[in-house]
Amino acid sequence: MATITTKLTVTGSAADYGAALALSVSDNLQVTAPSKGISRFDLAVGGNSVLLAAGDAGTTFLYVKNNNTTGSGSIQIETAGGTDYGTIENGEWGWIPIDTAVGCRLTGAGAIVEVEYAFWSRT
Amino acid sequence: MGQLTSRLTLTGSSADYGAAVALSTTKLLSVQKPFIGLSKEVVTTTGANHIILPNLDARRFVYVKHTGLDSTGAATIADLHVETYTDNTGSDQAIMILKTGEFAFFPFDNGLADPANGDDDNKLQLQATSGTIVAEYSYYTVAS
Repeated sequence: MATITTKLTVTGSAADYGAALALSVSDNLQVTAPSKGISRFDLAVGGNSVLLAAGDAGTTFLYVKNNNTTGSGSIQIETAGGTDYGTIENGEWGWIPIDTAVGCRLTGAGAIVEVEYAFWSRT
Repeated sequence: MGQLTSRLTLTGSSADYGAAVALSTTKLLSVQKPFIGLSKEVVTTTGANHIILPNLDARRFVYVKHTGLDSTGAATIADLHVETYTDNTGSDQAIMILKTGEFAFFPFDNGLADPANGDDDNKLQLQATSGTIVAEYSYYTVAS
């Protein structure tokens, strides 16, 4: 068993939101295999990459980022079965506790995308 | 239109992983109305009663956290499901599972589906596996 410490901060100005936004949360996650260290690959337009096959009940913590900085390439986040529920544009990222029973697949759109990702399974 | 600075850091020891994990990534997001600031919802086992994203044709960044408490303030070990709709007939599907203290931050648009004609496609709901869970959430619509 190992530990991953996660921390999210989201900030915004009072001028934009009526009151300053200052969210900060962190958590120590107890994780185990299967896991994947911080990795990168190129995802082609229309190409699919199943990061997590649909499997047993549980949670896999997924970090995924569109590492492009310009251009029209985006990543569609889907269940392993192809249900699409999110789009990651240039430079954006997500921290997603994936329901392992439905898994996760990425599909490229618009242009080739450099995908950065990592995941760890909850103990 | 406003700006949000989002930052994620992940750390782990070299003892656990062979080499230290030290990731920090930041993104400045341009967002707009509608948005919901940091809010809390007592989530029950009926997800349809806890729709945190309305059915709009828009891409939104969503924050969700399992506070570890139920409606009475007592600790709960129930799981918090984040559920999407898989078609236009109202069928929902768990896509994420959070336990006490865990959080998620992600872009959601359900495939940029057009929720015209009463389609359910672009809603997002929360559901407890038992009892109640106080969930913390917010969302911001990405400026197009």
